[in-house]
Amino acid sequence: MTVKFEAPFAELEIDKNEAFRYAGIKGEADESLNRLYEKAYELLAESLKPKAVYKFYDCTYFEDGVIIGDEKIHSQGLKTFLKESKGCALMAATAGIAADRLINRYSLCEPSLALMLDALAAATVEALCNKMCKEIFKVSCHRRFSPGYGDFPIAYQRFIIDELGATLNIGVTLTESLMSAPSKSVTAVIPKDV
Amino acid sequence: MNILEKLSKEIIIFDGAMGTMIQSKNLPKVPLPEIYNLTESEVITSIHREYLEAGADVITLNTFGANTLKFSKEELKEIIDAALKCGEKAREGFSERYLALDIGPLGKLLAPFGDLSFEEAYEIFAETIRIAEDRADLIIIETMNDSFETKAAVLAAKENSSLPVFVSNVYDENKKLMTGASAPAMIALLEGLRVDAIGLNCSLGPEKMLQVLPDFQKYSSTPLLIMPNAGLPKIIDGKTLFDVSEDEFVKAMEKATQMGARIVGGCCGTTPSYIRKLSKALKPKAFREITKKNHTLVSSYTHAVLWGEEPVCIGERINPTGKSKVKAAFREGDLSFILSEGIYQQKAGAKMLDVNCGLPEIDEKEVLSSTVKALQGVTDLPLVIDTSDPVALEKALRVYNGKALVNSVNGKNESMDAVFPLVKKYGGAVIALTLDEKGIPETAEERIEIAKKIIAEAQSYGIEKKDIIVDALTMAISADRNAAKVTLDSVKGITALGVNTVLGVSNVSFGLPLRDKVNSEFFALALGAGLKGAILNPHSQLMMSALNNPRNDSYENFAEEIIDRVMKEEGSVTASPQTASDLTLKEAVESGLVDKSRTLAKTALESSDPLELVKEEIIPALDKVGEGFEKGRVYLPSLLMSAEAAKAAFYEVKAKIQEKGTTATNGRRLVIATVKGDIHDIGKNIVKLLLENYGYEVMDLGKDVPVEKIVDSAIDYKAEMVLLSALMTTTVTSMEDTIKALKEKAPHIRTMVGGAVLSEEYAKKIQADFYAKDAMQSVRLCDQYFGNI
Repeated sequence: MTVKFEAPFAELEIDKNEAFRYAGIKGEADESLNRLYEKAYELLAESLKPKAVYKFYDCTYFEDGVIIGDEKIHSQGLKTFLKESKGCALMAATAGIAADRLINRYSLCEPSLALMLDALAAATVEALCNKMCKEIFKVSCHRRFSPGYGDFPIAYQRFIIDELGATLNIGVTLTESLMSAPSKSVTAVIPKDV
Repeated sequence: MNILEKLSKEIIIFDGAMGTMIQSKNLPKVPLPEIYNLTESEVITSIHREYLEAGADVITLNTFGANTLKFSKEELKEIIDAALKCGEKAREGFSERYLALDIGPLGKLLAPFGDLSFEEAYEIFAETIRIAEDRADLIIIETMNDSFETKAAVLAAKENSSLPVFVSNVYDENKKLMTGASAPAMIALLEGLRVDAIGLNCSLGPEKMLQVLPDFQKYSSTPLLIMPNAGLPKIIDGKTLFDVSEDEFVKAMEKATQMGARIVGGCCGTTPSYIRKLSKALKPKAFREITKKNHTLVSSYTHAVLWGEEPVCIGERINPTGKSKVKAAFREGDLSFILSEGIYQQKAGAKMLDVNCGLPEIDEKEVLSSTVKALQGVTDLPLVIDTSDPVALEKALRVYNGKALVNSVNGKNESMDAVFPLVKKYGGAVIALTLDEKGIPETAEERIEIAKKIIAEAQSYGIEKKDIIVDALTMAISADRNAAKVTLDSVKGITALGVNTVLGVSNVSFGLPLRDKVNSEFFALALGAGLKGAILNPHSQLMMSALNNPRNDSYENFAEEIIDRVMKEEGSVTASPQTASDLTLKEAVESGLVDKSRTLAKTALESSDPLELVKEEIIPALDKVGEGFEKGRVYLPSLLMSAEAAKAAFYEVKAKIQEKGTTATNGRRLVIATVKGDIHDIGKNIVKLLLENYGYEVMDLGKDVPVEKIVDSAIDYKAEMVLLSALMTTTVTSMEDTIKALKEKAPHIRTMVGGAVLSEEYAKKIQADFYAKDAMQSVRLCDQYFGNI
């Protein structure tokens, strides 16, 4: 059964260093960069409602990959990642369209802020995924594998979104070129014995 | 009796879930449930029949996802035909039962944040509707998450059928749609489009759904539809069950009807058994008549603005008349300047934005609608569509995401004949100017008469009085001392008619000194006389403070007194002393101080040559920061802050240079675009900003730009280089196609590429002339290339 998961922005443990890294800040951030971060944080805190959906599946394995539900996925990378775990969860998470709207608004009149909003919104989705890993899947943050990693084709985003009804449930869609819209969205597979 | 007649007489019962029922039948798996219309027509027919037997007046055909995104045109025809046959067969033997063509969401996000255009969405919906329009009894557009997609579906239904249209959206616990619209915003939009029922379904269980109803009770004059889920799904003994029982469901729905619901049914998890109890309980009940609401609402894709309570401030700045920078921006197609103007006005407190691009040398028909679209990508304020060209008006109203305010109609028959049909069709409130074939009357009485005439004419189109906002016209008191009094008397008289009023106030001070002061005092008096909104400059502090301080004093001698006062004061005003700064412009730009850079540039320009200033201060500052960036000492956000500061300084420089009639650019023309299929453009925007700072003339084509458009624009614009950005491996192919097309049609134009997935090697492979690994390098490469030719 598909389950929805929501976490208020303020409850997410957002990794500031990660956001800085996404924004291209490779070392010590000065005061003006910290102020920029605070400004982006305030704007996002006002409008973001990060949301996710997930569902558990049995997994069986074949030589070239793994079968999740009824889907035979040819990917050695995913197989190795799941380590023959008997089950897994599929998940989709998003910062929502509000993030894209803010980024778009400021990309014209304050591009530095748009860049920081972009970075922080990406870090927000990461934080939501991490929270789910910790609280629901009980695995470490890095135990996530997404379409596009290694030989796991990026087209499998479609499979995950369809399986989870992620479009109706949390508004995640894909463009023809397989970009997620809203842009700050993640789909992933997580090992979980069921 | 058709469905609308029935709706006027009794509570209408819809059926319950189709998906839940299909699941319970354990049918062989198919890729999409609409295929069952063909392969399991007996099962689908029997599900419809079960609902009819349970007492449903309306059955919803199994066409939720039947559209050309999922099926070929031939398949679609077969599937919809089969769906209709299932419904028709199920209905045999019943009377007064109705078939609803079911239209669900497309599963794609509309542009600008997704890649489906409004027009494409319209066409997909239209395709489905045209197949069923002569056999279905009504269209239900349901489970819609997004206001814009809802509008595309409604327009498609209205323009391709004459069937009644019921619309139902999905609200979350914050009482909003997934993409942000509130219930009042949806009510404004959908009543504007004249749909036959408005409501909500799915997502929430019945009790939670009731919490959204007060908004409908307060603002909607349209029959209310409600179809909740049977609560939330739970797995019990391996089966999916919903947690709201039939009795609880019916009880909540009884409350809903007491709150005004006229059409009731069920969504996910409801079965014929729910509908039987629902029908039994509610069918015999008398319903509550809907009361007509008199709120004047305009809306965007997030919220509605209510007229009549707090005075509404409409930002006037997006208008080329008398504003040379706006004029230049429209002429040069510099949309970013226009959009920034919108954002700044919102920051300053505007609640709506007027959009006017009426310039003889631009194609208003195209530019107005594209400006409206682009503005809605950056601001959630409702817009005022300001044009005298009916074709431009229609195009803009069509793509406007919400219910717009139209500016304007007047008492001339020609004007009313052109504007009212559009307001009737697309929805909207409209500003009515009190002038007619004879011109602007000199007395308040005559202006009030014209207002009455316009209101009566609007009503003959079915446009209600609440959607007319009268502008009694502000005239210059310098020319006619009586002008202010006539306007204010008119405002009073029109307010007494129960109609909202608006004014563009700044005309009052034409020809006088200290215009802001004159305007704001007049504005305060107008508010006292009952004015409900004004089109003004939100950057004026005097005006914004008058907004909250209406004055009820006598205005008999306003003109004489204020003219006398400002004439005297004029001489006594002295320029405020310049505060000394401890920073140079170069330092301010280096530190990324935007406001400081602008003021320092302004001061410096009083004594120095603008081009010298660029060469000696701004460019060296940018170079220094750029060098730091290249060496890894300065990070990208700081580089951008400096670029923004430089841009602010350039703003002043340009103004100065334009005064002299020369240009601030180096004359090198570039075209920049994010390629087809790619909808992320933050990187491209950064490159553009830096290139402009270094003097390049950059035409920005935006994102998701087709090959032909890039090629054609580059040729038309006489660009010497095209810069392309792509973020994903899936979109680099369109970059390759674009370069190929450019090499064929315009081999003299160089190409530069950049973006997350690109590399020097890959750039070579797709035959790009240059590869820039970051924004700074794109500037360096351009400088090198153009420096050498």
